[in-house]
Amino acid sequence: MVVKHGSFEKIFDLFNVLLLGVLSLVFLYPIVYVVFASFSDPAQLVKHTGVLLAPQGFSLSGYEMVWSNPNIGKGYINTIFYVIVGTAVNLLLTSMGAYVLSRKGFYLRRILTMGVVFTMYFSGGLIPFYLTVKGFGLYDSRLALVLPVAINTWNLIVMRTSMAQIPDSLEDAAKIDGANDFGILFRIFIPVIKSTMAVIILFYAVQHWNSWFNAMIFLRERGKYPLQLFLREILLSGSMMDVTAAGGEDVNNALTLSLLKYCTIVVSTLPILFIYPFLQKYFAKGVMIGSVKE
Amino acid sequence: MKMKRAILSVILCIILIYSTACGNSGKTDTAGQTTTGDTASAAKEVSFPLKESATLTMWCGFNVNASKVMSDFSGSHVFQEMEKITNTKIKFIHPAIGQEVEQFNLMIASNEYPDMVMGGISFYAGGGDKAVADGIFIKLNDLIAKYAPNYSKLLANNPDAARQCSSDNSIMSAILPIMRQDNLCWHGPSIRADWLKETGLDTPVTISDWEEMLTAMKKNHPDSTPLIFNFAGAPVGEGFKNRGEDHWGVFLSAYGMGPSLYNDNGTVKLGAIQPGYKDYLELINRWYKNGLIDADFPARDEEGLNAIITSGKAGAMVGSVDIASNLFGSQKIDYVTAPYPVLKEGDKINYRAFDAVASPIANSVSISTQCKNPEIAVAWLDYAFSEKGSLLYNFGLEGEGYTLQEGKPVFTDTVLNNPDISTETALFLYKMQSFPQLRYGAYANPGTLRKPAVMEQKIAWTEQCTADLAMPPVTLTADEAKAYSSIMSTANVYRNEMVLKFIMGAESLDKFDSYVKQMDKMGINDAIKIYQDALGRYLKR
Amino acid sequence: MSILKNLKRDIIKNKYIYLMAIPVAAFYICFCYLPMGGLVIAFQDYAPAKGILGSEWVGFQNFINFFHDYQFTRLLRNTIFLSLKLIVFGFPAPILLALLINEIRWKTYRKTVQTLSYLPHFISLVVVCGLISDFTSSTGLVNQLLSYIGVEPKTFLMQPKMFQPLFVTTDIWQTIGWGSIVYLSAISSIDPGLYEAATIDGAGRFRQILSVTIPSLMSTIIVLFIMRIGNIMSLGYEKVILLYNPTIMERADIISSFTYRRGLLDMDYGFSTAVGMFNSVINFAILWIANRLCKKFTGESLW
Repeated sequence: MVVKHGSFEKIFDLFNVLLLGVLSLVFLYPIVYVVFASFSDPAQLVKHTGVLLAPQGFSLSGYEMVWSNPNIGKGYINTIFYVIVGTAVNLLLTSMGAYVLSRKGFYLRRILTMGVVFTMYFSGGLIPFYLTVKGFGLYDSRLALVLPVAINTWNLIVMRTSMAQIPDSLEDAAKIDGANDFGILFRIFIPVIKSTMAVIILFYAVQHWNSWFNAMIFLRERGKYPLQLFLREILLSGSMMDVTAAGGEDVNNALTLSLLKYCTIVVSTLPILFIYPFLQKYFAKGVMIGSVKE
Repeated sequence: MKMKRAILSVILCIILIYSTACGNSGKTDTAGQTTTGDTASAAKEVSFPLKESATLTMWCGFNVNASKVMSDFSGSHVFQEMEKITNTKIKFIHPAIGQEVEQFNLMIASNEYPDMVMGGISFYAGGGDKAVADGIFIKLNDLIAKYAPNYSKLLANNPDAARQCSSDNSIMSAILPIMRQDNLCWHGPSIRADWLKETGLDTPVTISDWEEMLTAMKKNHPDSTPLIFNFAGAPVGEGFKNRGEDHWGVFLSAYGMGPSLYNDNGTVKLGAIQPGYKDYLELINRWYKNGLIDADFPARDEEGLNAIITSGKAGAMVGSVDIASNLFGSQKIDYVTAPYPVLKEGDKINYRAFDAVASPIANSVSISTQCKNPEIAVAWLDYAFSEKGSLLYNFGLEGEGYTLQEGKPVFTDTVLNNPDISTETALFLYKMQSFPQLRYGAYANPGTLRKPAVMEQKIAWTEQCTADLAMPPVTLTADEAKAYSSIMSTANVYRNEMVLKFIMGAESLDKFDSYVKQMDKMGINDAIKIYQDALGRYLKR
Repeated sequence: MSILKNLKRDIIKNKYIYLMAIPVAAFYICFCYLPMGGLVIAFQDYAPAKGILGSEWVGFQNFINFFHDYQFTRLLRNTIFLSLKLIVFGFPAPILLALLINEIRWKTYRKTVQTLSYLPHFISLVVVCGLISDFTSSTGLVNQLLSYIGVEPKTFLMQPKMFQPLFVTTDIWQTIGWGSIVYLSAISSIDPGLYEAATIDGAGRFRQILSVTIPSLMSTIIVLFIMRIGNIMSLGYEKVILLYNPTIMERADIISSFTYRRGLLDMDYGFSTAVGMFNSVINFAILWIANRLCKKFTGESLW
């Protein structure tokens, strides 16, 4: 019986390793494609179709075009600011919200949860949102990229779910030691759900990194623009929008269009990819041993 | 409690009265007179340079190529020169590039408008008249008559421009760019020179010449796509890919019609339901069946199209000649352009790529009701329509942007061959491309001027064809626009599905009549009627 | 009045919880509920210049226009079918991937697979759709591979029947890794003691997955499932409009792509708000039902 089990498991292991290996290649390929394409010679890239296994020729002209734009550096600095400040605010508010909604003895828990979930499905639309944020004096303020997105309800619910699973005994023990709810949340709960926190940090950081819409509608001064907004502009400039605007006079170079697209993806994506390995160690099996054992 | 509220409202009233009074007195001060309201502005004179400097704000779209060298348009040498000439400073407010319409609506919703707004009459739902009626922009007729002598003179001498610059109700809600002459036609068929030579045929003139040439090309290069319709530059959803017709009507115009709605001597018609459209579909269907056009055209995106051409698998392309010269040029392939195809030799083509005289509307400038000095704003805008101003905006500063050779402005190398900045950037640093001005069009476009061959090809098409069938820039009322879009958002989907089915043979052309009937049921004639009415009003202007 | 009394008692008992709730509630009121007043424009012929107070009221006209549209049934059918496929195939996929990744014993390999799996999430839709249409064209990679097993090459994006499966497959490919992160983290917080106990009871690895891992994930799965199913009507337009063309419109056109096209022709905020509200109401109703059912049958629920 045991032997049979073992051999079957071995076959499964082998199958699993192979399957995931193949899947990994499928996952990896698009980014490889983008990187190869971004280093290609535009004249050769434009005639290429299908699988790309190496750069078509070699040229840095796409990157030169992106970097020749003086706004890129500024954009990076702004984006890093928004990611750090924004994520910090997110974590503070989300963890408090999640804690509140996970308290079983809390009288308003059900109605508040419903009220929070309701906002995921109903929103007033762009114009009322804009007028409200402007009404709070956040127009052309960096805070307009932080406060109106201070809580993502989906993340809040995920965090609440994981807090709700913490055994009551931990909380009871802390209360006996004289801790109040703030103490329980920040000293005990957050360390216990470290792995969930890591996920939430990742989600928020990536959300801030990729966001441009609020910046577009709320920021007037270009010096405050995040990277994504500048990159979007570069991409749009490569598109044919100008044809109609100027009556067919200045058609941009069709050749650099696709090259620019790939370069901007590399420039905008690679940095945020590096955040993952740092957070990944918190999902490793068994980090919780110490804290959960009663 | 009630007491408090009463006091508060009194205070508010005082503030309100005070602020309006201040506004008025501000006006009269600069005019140096003590009368009020209209008479004050009537007597006011604006002569540049102003004795006291003025500042105006302007909301206007930015350009990414410009953003490389300036943080807003006040970095342009043209506006710096304008400040010297007029003693008027313009403070630019730029929305983020790409979603100007959305941001325009947000600005309107917030009820705070700058002095001048670019593109407002094309962004505002219901157009310029509605914006004036809603109290957003001011009616400019009187101001233009008094403070814009150059602009007024141009309109007086050009009936088309005059029509396009005021509305059905004779309201001028914006100052529009005006072309000196018809802009050159930039869109048409181009053919690979070597493949053409291989066939031993002359440059095709008639549609049957084309068929012969394309068939021969297919025979010589079996895995090629002899003819490509390049939809780059087409409004979203309007290229051959989606509608089965070239967006400037190449080939279709041979059958005496234009793409989508066209103006047949005062009658608005929709090409896709004309009897002649069946003949056009028969032709394209045959070409599709014989592999003369791309078998996958509905699913081919722009990059896919480019790849066919650049990988040397296309014999001819219908599209912008600037793009053709780029694409063929990148692979060092020679190309020739062909005239717009006709049914039989000697036929006249009455539809081609064209620009309205007063265009682009997106570059028009309106003046908001919150502007304190509309007189100065109008006079400032008018300068770009004087001979001097036109030179400044189109060619830049003499000595820097251009030199005069035999009385004609010629760009310097600073603009044409600048090693530090691209031509696209020069368009905004040394001259000002997108702004209301008396335009030289292609003759002031460094990108085209650098390629004399392209220039000649454009001239040839322009001389061959007229744009008589083209729909002039009519304006719909807000209600008309809504009714039209509610019919067309549905009818267009059906039309496109059916036309593509006819072309690809999924639906027999015998069904053409029942397709027309179905379009009828969907209210297509009501939609056409809306444009017919608008055309009637336009012609009466 | 007993409600108020209970509330008062609760405030005294849980004062710190209420203190914590204040900023959170403030956020939701300021940035979610205040703008929600804008929903009334669904019943208006809204013009930005006139504002919500000044625009004309049209009752249910916007809704009626939508329901009476020639293509309404087709749009509704496509939206629901596509969405259901995305839920049926797309929802379990990340759970499965998380379980498989978790079964890899070689740590470096596990981490590598994990990292790679989430990469597609970062590629913009424009590029993804470009790759899709390139690879599935009649001369593309997929057709080349299929031709080896004797399938005649076909351009996928011109086959109406292929659109939804293609959409779902590529969607799973793009979101599976990112989606699995939540589950991986949940797995990592399972008490190892439970596995030890199961091993002592003689459970093999499959048994352990079935009797320890999955039950421990259940509350996460149920909560996410309820939220997912409540999104049945909200399908973004971007990917559809990047992929569709008139030949496959009969299966590809959905509600959001329709409103997008309408939006292009004129900025009809009242109409698009009405369509959005229609979607939201259905979504929330389904969410409500799903929540009740889950509570009844599993004891787990969103609220």
